[in-house]
Amino acid sequence: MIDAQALVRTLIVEDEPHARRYLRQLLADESRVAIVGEATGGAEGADLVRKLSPDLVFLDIQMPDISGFDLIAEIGVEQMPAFVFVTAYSEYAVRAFEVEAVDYLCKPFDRDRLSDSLEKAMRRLQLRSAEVPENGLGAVHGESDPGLSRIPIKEKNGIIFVSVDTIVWIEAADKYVELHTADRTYVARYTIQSLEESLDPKQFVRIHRSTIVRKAAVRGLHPLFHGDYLVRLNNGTELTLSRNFRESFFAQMSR
Amino acid sequence: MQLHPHFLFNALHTIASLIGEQPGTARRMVVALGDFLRLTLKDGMSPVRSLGEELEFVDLYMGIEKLRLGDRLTLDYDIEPAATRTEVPHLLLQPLFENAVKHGAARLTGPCEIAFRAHRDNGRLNLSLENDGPVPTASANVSKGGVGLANTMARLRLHNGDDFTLQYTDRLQGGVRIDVSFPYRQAGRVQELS
Repeated sequence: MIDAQALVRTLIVEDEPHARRYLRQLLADESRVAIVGEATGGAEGADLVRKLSPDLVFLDIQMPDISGFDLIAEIGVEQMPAFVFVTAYSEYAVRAFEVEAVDYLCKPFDRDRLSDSLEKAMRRLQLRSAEVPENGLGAVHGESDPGLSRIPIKEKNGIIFVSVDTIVWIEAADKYVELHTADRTYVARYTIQSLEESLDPKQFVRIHRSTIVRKAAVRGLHPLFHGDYLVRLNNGTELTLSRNFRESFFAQMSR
Repeated sequence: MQLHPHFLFNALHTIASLIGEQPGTARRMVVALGDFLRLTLKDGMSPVRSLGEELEFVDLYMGIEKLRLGDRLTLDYDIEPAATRTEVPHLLLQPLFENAVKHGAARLTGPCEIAFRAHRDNGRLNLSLENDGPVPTASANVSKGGVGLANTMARLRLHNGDDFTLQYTDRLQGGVRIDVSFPYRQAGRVQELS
């Protein structure tokens, strides 16, 4: 089950400027939603789905470059995160059902309609995570501890807070760690060990002495030699799963 | 005329988006949409109007689309003042502008310019409408004007018999240019009102 506290990492893909701002404003008021990105077209949308591995996408259908349906075809129905179509066209509802849209939100809509769609999305996301069998391995954190949500980082002109929701993977580098988000890398003075202990184990998993990765960002594994694996992320990044972490990785990934 | 429902739904959604943040703009858009619907739904109108009146109607339509698409849509008009008094078939222009938006601005992530020219020459009225658009590729199925253009042809024929030309050109740099020419005739009393 999804924690009550865990935020749904949400991506907006909408080409019309006012409609995009409106969606952003309505979603910003939803306590369970963290907006992780916005795309102004289908191609950029596909790119951000890969880079950010969001939990939920609000997806326009008619867009200047490629349509919402094209975006899904590009990502693949299997790999596609939960999504809600947002459109002025009612005639695509049947096709939307075929590509497993959570909901079909017709323009114009207001806060109530959007909340209904969000509710459906929440139920779908809970179903998805409930399908994964519990395997009895003890979690480091109790059910009530959702883990760290923001990481303070000292920069030249002060301290900034990096939202954990934006982090895709983390790599240890000497006495520092590099926090990789979709669009930049933050360097912070933490140990990988301390971060592993502070992060929500439902969302992150250690794959190497020096690497932690967001579970939802992992696309697949390819065996290397000596029992190591190549871990390929949705954004194309390739990391190594070392054999020392193999067992705990497989146990953690199904949680 | 056929009013496309998604034009209406998109316009209503833009209004819903604007009501909180920019109530003044939202109100202006409601009024423009009202005016547009009134003209669209009015039956039994004279089959001819002045070019000036047609352009007022186009302005309403384009004003609504411009709000929806934001900076992506720019308009460039070059209209000889005397040409606005030409008698033209009702609903000659709006479907052409609608196509220009649909195949131009709505298909481009970057800015799209729509340029309209109207001039008299040798007793004829020459109109041209150009829009930026995606560069045509061999694989892309570029939909040609479609119903809009067929209706325009029918209206021109009713109005002018065979004495008109309508030329549709795919521009090399992307987008479309449409040229229309027919005999200049000054519109009647309708013009005195404006």
